[in-house]
Amino acid sequence: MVNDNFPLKNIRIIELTEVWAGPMGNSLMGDLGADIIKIESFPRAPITRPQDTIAARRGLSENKLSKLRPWDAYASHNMANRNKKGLSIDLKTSKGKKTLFELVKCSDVLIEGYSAGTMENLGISYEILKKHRPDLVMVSMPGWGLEGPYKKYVTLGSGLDAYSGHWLLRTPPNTEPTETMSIYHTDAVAALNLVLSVCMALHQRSNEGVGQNIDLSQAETFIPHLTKHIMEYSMNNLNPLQIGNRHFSRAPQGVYTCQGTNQWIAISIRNDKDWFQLCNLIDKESPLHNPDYENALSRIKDHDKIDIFLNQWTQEQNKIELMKLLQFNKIPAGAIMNEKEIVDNEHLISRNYFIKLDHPIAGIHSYPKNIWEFLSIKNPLFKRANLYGEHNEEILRELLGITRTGIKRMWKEKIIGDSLDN
Amino acid sequence: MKNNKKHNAFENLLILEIGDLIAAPYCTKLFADYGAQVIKLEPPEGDYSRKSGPFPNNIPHQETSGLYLNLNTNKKSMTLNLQNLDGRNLFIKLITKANLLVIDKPPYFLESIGLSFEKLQILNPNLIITSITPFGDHGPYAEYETNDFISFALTNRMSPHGIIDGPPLQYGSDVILYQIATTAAAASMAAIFSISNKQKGDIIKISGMEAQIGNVDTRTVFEQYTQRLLQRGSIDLRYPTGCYPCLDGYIVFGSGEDRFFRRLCHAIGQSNLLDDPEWAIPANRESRQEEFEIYLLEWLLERPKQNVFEICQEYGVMCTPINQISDLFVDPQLKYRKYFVKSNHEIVGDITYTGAPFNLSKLKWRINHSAPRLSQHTKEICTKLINISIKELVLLKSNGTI
Repeated sequence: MVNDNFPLKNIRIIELTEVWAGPMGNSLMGDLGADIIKIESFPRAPITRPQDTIAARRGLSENKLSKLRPWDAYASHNMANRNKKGLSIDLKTSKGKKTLFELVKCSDVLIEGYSAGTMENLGISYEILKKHRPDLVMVSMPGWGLEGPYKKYVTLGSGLDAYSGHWLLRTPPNTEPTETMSIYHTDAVAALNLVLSVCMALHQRSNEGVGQNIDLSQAETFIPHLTKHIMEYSMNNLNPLQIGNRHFSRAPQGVYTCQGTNQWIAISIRNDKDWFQLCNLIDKESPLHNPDYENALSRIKDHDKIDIFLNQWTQEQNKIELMKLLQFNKIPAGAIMNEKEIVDNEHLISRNYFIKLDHPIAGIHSYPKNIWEFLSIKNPLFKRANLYGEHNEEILRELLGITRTGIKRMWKEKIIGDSLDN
Repeated sequence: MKNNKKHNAFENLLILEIGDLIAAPYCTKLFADYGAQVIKLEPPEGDYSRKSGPFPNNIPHQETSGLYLNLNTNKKSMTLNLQNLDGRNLFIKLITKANLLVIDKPPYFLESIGLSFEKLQILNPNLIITSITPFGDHGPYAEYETNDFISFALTNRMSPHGIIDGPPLQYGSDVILYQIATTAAAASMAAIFSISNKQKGDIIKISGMEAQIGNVDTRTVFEQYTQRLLQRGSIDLRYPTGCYPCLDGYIVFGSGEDRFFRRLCHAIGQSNLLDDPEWAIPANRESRQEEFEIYLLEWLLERPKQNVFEICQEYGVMCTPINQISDLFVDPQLKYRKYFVKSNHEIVGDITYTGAPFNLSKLKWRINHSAPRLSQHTKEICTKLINISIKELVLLKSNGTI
């Protein structure tokens, strides 16, 4: 069998989302074979496509071409937008809106990530779109959902991390939350739940012939990931302790320095057997050979001391060799690897996990491949992120049958565009 | 099994779950709570989450672990000893009835008892198998020992996470396992949908490591674009971004990009700054962070976090409070949406559970019944689903199969 059986083949999805959660979720559905049409805002620059190169913090790949088209060369954009076609169009104009309606007629799903109310204001709410495509599956994924006092509020993943309680969980003991970094983990979670909810609705449509709308609150979709803590409060009225790298029952658990600068290994001793195995590897003079430490409770009590002794043993060793030694002895251990080391990681290389792609503006880089393997997909799709406005003509002509003259007029009237120069 | 006349698309789905703690159970919960039938195949001693708590009043009990109870709502429990021949035969009977098997076990687990994935698919060509492993089924790390902490260390998310000059730091323990679970659920659902489109079964492999590295909130592509590693504790966007103190706690700003900076000036009563090109032009204000923070802190420190949140958001500023878990239970938004759900449990009494991860207008999420007691449905499943006689059942019990 050579034919790939993509689960979402013949499904067309219109994407109206920005930043990470929506774009990544749509990339994942592109991986599954769906035809993704990414509608990008024009003339306002999408958040991950700033016009000015000063905003290089978003990960600009600097070169001659990216000076001219910086909006096409940001890592923040290009890492989350594979397997799509792009249409940059002004939906505030009536022609722009009409184009959207025409696209909806020949699509199965529409996904929007605006704050609640924005779609209504633009005149493209579910109620209106449904008239153009009665069995449309539509997902709205604002930070806090479509209804409720926060429905119009705006946020990034970092804000949802704070709101959900995860920011405090990430703050080590005796540390102010102001020292804790912003992370965007909830974007990854929302992206996955987007795929799940769309596939559920499509399955229902296959069985019952109906479309529907989905209210995906990015806050609510993440909160169950904190189940242990939610249940501790729900049952015992207790808030979680801030424990840093430690664990309530495993000890020792933490990161320890290794040979070199900023080199670390993570070690997690699950039980007395792991501890015994570890002690077998450590020189006889080490104070870790203490009969008191043979049970977990006393190891938890003396965790600080044990960390110091253990670090004396790890600090002279190479992190990769030490990881291999510990793993050979069935002790959970992992070398801490930075972004660069991950791309060069022997395990991932043996699995061919990264793929080199040439992007006409950003250049050649390695990108992680799909987050799942399907037996029925022998040749996973991996098309580089679209350039801004790259498929304007293709979409308008091939999908909607608009003539060359008609398209030219749309350029001229600034309804579509492929540049964010002012 | 339920044999109602009226089925929705999900009540006809039969899902088998093999795996402890979080990854497999959370994956199948995402189906069970929308109406699918999920059978948890537990080893005789039960899912490990039954032992791990939290427990009411901190008293361990096999049936009252909060983690277990929340992750296994709406499921049925059957104990099954796969190491013996009769157990294998029962499993084969279940496989012929199932649509999806979610399994979180080492790559060699089923093969060691003579049941490769390929063999299972011969028994049931429409079966979808979703296999979750920490590192995939081949490669140098495939058989590494791991848990949530080590699996997190072996992605590229731990290295850049932490406070300035501090060590690499984990995220909240377990969140990685939930992410892997949700990855497995999304892929499984796509395959289920494609079966409704007349395709055959499938085998899906999820490597926890790749599920992390291939999703967003990772930095491999950033590093290559910029030749710059993210430093722990760094703020990667324009100020004000990140956490600031206020009267009774802390708040977080999402981004200080131009339009948000402007809105914030209005929100804190400093619109006049924007008349001055030194502030109005983004490049000019880069070096004036400390000066701005004086204005900002003066305003923040007079107001409680919920108040700061609401005022800033009225102006369209990306601002959120730093909540404690307890704050969620009184949060106006979650209350309005009736997010948390109360349901009665026969031993624990009323329990408040986490709610729907998303709301579909035509498919109800609900807790129909509490998580099952260990082996609660073994007899029902054996007699009604796979037609084992009561006589055989007694035998299977006596030889330790169930």
